[in-house]
Amino acid sequence: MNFAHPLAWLLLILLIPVALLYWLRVRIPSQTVGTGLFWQKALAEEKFRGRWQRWRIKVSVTLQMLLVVLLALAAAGPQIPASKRTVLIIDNSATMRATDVQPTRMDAAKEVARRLIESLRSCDEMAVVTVSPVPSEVQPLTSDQTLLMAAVNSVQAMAEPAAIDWAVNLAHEIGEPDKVSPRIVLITDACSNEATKLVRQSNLEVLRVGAKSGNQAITRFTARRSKAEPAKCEVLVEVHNQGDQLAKGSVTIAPLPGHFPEGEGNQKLPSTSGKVVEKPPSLSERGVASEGQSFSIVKNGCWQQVFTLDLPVAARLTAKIEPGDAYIFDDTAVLYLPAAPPAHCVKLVAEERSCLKEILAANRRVELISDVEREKGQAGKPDVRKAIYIIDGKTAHTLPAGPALVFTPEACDLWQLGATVADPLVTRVDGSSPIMAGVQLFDAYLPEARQLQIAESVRAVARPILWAGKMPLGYAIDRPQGRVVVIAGDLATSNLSLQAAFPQLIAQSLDWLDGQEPWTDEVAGSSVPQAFQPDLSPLLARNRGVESTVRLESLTYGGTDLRVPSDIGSEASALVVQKPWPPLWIVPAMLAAVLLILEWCLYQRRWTS
Amino acid sequence: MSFFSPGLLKRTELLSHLARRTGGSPLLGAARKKLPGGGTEVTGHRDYSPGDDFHAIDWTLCARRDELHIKLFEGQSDRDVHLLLDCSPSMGLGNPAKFHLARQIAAVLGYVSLMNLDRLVVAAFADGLVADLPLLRHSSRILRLLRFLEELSPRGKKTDLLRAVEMFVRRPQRSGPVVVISDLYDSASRAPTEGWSRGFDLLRFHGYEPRLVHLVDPSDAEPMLLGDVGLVDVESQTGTSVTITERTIRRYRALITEFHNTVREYCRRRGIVYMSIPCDMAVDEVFPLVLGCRRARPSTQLELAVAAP
Repeated sequence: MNFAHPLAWLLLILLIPVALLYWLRVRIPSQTVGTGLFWQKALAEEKFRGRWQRWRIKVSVTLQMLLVVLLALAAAGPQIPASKRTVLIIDNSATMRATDVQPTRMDAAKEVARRLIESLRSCDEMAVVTVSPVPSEVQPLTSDQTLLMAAVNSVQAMAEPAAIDWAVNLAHEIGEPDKVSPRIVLITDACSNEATKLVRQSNLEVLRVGAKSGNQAITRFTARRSKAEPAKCEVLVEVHNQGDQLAKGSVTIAPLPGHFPEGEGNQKLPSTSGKVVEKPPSLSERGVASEGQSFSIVKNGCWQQVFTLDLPVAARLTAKIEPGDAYIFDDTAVLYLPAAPPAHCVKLVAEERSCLKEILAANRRVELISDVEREKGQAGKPDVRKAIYIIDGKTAHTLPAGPALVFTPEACDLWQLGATVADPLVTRVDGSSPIMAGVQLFDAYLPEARQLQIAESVRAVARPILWAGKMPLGYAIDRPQGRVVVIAGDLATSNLSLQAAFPQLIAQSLDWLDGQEPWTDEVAGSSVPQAFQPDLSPLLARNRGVESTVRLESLTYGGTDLRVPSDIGSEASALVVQKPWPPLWIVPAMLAAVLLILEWCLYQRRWTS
Repeated sequence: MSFFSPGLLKRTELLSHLARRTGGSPLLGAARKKLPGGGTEVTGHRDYSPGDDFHAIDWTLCARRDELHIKLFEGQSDRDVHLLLDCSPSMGLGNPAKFHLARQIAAVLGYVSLMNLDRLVVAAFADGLVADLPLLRHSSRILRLLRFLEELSPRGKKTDLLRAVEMFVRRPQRSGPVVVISDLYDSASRAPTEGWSRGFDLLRFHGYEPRLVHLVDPSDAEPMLLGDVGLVDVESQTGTSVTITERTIRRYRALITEFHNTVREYCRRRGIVYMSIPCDMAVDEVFPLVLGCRRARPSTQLELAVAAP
């Protein structure tokens, strides 16, 4: 037993005056009588009464002392059993937003938590801990039920998985300031493997919310533009059946309303047809909204489908599963597909036998122009005056202004040719360079390659991009008049043009020369709850239309399996909460009242028979 | 004398004259008896006892029987009046003390006896005879009587009338009226009515004519006690802590009343003159009653029970 107010035992000091009063009281007044015969006879007839009278004062003082002790006991606030310390862990992970329990699992968990709080006695303490995104102490240990209720009401389901093991550790730290093991109550749907393992291994008191509900989730939603035809894009949708029954439904790819951000990427975008689009039409206008694609997925199965859309402009696409289920947040996914990149104007300076012409003709992003077009320019086309020179041999002594990609270089104002490289086999490329990123050259051989001696004037802005041993065979020069990429060796006799990565090298070189960021060909989507559509416009504008950071749970942590294991813990809805006993101090207080009445009767009985 | 002022003495003298006209004090009596000597007609003989007049010895009969016998004559003659005064500690209680009134009554009775030419014997008793005044004769010895009474005070341990009477009757003296002035709180016996009645029986057995002046303390009859009280018996000096309730008081009153009734009934049945006098009664009222000058007024608590012998 412990006491809420131990200082109240100081009331036992009142025993001293009680004893003093008793001592003074027994000194009763004496009366001298002529004979005691009559008194003895009068008192002897009340034999029992006389015997009781002998004990009455002792009984009276005993009652008074007991009364004081009981009052002190009541004031001290006895607590049987001792006050409990409970740490309440509320699972606020993503799956707690499931609606298989009306209104949601989270609300059901809160209701259970409130019932637990109401069952607390005034001496009990409780702390509230949430598990997502990281375990946090929402309410430290307190016996104030108002604070606990407010803390429980403030808990919201998050979009991240549950870190229950961390939360349990935190609960032990919170509940053991006095090395007393706390009672840890976990209210969860136990939908994560981690939680399941932990709960089975530990002795937690688990209250289970939710049912064994099935869920169909979009687990992958990506899109990419075709390298061959950038105006077209391919969309991959993957749906998982996280249920024990066969799942049937359909997936619809559609634009979100108001999905065209007025950003940099969508203003007067050049199309592959060479027209300048003042205001891009909507997807529905273009007829790209796909019909619902039906699916039928077995238990724990997966379904994938690729959609091909003719969509040259930037768009935000949404994938939606019909019909919905208990967890609506992974029934919809969204991605932002950037617009098709602009075309490069290229002036090819090469011999007729050069393979570059065919390579460039195969690239839909390249528009070859003649010298005349470059000099005069044409309306309706990109600024051809900023066309990129692609030179294969016949390098002028002074390289023209503007960007240039030079193969089989000759001496010019930017470099001089040195000795022939003994072993011109490309052994290393600068993968960090936007030109060579992702470019893998296998046994690329550059015969008759000569050392490139970069002129002093541009040496500071020249950066080697590939080597043969320790000898640089290629440079990227970022001069003020225009960027230049030069690769030594005879292109006609080398196997560089036969490399599979050579078109990628050309494309990335053109992007760099044109001052464009590398083109991300694949865009990952994310699931967005219907009721939660963030304003992504600033983000899209900042990232130039590439939405890559807004990702929600289903596509990041691997699913939202709502199936609650039935062998863990006990059903929260069946929780029977004992009503807290009235404070124990009432018992001694009532006994004290009874003793007070008894003593009062004894006091009165001294005067009346 | 602090207890008997000259004024009281004069008043007593006056009352004694009045008492003769009304037949004398009922406590002392005035019956004619067969007395040795002093008469004119011989009515019989009896054994000689010390103090008898030698002139009354019948020498003829003595010669014939070889024993001393005195002749009895019919007629008025002196007699021995005995006063047994209770001076136990219980007599010291009361307001005024019962012993104070007892001494005054003894003085009055003694004075009247001496004035009537009776011989007076005064003895004080408690748990036995504690003081004794030698035989007095003639009224000139009144001062000695008063001095003896003046020197008396409550003493002894407890009242034992039987033992005192046993000592009293063993003394060589003539029988006669014995006026016992007491509160009858006989602590030597178990019952309140046991000891004193046996003492009176013993007196009567030895030929004495006992009379009783019962002094009553009104505070004994109506005790103002309630609650926790330590009762101290003044005679046994033992204390008892008791809680007195109204029920106890009622029971006590009933016992007191029963005791008084018992005493009265005892005296009535045996022809003993009984007089119950509250100790707070004024002397001017007590003296006429004691001397038989008037009857008790109904308003007073004086009780006089005289039964025919």
